[in-house]
Amino acid sequence: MDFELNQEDKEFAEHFRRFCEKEIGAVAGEVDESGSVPRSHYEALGAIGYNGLLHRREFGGQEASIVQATVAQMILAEACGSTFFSVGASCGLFGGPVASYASAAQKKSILPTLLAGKLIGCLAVTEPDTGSDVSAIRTRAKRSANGFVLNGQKTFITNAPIGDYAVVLARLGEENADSKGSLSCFLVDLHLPGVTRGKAMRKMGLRASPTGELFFDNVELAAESLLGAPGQGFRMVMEAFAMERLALAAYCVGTMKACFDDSRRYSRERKAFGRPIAKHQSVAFMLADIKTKLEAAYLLLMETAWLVDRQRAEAVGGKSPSRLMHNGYVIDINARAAETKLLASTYAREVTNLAVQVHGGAGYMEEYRVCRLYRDIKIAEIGGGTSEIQKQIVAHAEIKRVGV
Amino acid sequence: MDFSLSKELVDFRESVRQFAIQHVKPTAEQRDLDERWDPDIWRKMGEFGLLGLCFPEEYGGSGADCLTTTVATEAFAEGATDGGLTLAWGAHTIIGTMPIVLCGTKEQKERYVPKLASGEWVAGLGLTEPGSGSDAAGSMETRAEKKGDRYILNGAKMFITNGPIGDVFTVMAVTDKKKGPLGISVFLVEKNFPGFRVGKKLKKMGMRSSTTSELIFEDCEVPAENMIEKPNSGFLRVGKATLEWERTVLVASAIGSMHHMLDESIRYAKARRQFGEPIARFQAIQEKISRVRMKLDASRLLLYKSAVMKDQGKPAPIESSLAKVHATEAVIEAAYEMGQIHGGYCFIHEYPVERAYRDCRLGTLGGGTSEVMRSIIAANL
Repeated sequence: MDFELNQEDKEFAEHFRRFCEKEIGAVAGEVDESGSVPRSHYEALGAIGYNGLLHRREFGGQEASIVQATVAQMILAEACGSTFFSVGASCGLFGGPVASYASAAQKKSILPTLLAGKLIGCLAVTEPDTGSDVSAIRTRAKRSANGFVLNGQKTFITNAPIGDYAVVLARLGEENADSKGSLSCFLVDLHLPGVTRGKAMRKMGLRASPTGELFFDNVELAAESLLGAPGQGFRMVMEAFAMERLALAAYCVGTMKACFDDSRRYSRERKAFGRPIAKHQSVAFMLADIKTKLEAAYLLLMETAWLVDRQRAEAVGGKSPSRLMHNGYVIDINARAAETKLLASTYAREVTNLAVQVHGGAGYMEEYRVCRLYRDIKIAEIGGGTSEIQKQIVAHAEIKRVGV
Repeated sequence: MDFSLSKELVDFRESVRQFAIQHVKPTAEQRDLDERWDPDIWRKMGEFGLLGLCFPEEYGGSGADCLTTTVATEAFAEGATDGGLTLAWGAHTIIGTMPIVLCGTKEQKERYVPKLASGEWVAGLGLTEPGSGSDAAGSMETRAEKKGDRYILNGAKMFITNGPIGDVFTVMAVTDKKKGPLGISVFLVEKNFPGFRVGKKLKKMGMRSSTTSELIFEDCEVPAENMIEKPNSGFLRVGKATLEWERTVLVASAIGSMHHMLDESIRYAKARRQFGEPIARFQAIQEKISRVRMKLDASRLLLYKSAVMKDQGKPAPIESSLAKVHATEAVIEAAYEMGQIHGGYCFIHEYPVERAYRDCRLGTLGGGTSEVMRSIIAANL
């Protein structure tokens, strides 16, 4: 067993940290207030290689390991949650399905520009009446002479107000079209006639990451817009969500790290009753709890990332095993990712609360970073599958694991 | 990064678990009711190599490292469903004997370690006193005064695991009051030394298959060569060398117990039917299962990291302390929630979860309370 990153990954992490602190973290407060992540952030993260970490070299990617990508995600999340979410929705949630299921021509035309940060994508699944129960969506694509006609509405879509493309989950066909088997994904150019978008929604947190609605009114799509085969949509979305769970856990750990650093520093500078508040037991114990939860979530995240790397390495014919033997135990990787997100988001919500408490009144002021982190983090227990959904995934795997 | 255990260690873990299932588990309920430590099981543990697992081979041990000992403890606790015996083992091997192994002279090791590895003798540690717990060093009242070639000990030690059955105890006593924690020395006290006696067996909430008592020193004569390390170096040197082992290896019992309770409760939830279906189908039950699973996995990693750092020779005050806080608080939560799954049966002796519920309560008290752990973490940040 070895809990340390190797030298190369450590150097990469240090290099990327310096970049993020200077270019992203330094302006995170202003960016939050402005309500939008500057386009230059997408481009700078493209130039340094972050956007393409998990993408193929031929499209401008890095072909990094999941461990490396996870380390980078934690660092970016620590610098700016909004940037992390918007860039992640573009290159991960959107870029992932495109890289796996789009045609060679589509990949060639979209991916290099996407990874350079000059094009923005999003994944459109949720609808006004459909959240956790993904298979109940109503957006529908009908076959037409030239391809498909798309009608419906999506909401809470990260990057919808600014996106150039979306991967849209819709029902295909008219007859028997209400089964899970009719769910299909479409690559949709958001500049097409019939596509309109709502204004960026006002949110509790992540205010610089624009979120909104997409409306499709008889949008004519070419035949090649269908990603993969008809009926593969549910699986594609679940694959994207599985990767998102790990990324969200990385976001939580990065946020906890920021809370730890700020709380540690503040509690040493701030004096009350004649000494630094860090010397008062009730504050010292909050710092100890922040550190404990940070370390617990970090280790679980890194082990899961390491397991997903193993899962990829053991793929046969492009198909990764869903379960792995690990230290004598059978691990369901999908459930492990859900468990990791569940723990990290639970702990991160608790930790942001502790961090604000350590800061006292200052923690309630936007001038201090922990104020923003407290607002931002709530999404982690909701987005990418609510904690309630993660618990079901974990419990179902557990019930399967243990015989009667 | 590499999160894999060696194949040998995974195999060894399974053999320890099987040993515990075969030799310990069948009588765990009865020994708990009888508050009885069993010398026959102890002898078998010695033969299997558990009692001297982490002692050097030249002294009859198996030379295992901290990670191996941690994993073995976890497997033993999981298979045995016997927190008390797991505790007696830890008190004997880790806190009782490791001070001799890590800091003792060649003569001390030769005299004591082989007998302790085989199980012929039982060891324990005397640190806590009736009036000194968390402030062990600052409030210690047991004194040792040098008289010729002996030290004369006076005082009492409290809550001593293996007290009623121990043959030799590692005992801390003040040798220079003015120096505070820097004035404490460590002695090896045999049960037959003049002036030593054992108080009555204490009745406990849990861990009842281990025995606990007071140790009383009334002009107890200890030969000077039975001092570990130099005078006044006891608390810091011996404590430092041993306590992080304790916080790692003994805490592994919580992990094993949590794992057993989780598996047992899932089995129960699949078999138990209410409102026309297995209770495992209810989201309220699934919520508990998922929460315990995630805390188990995180606790295990924290503990393994602490063990690996010990094996790399790195000090791990933060890592061992936060592993202990996280794991021992998680196992209490797990015992409560897995108890809820068992409903009324959680309250009945026959079910291991009832015993685990009582046993695990010691976790956040012994070996440094959670409050002391948090103080150590905060002081080292």
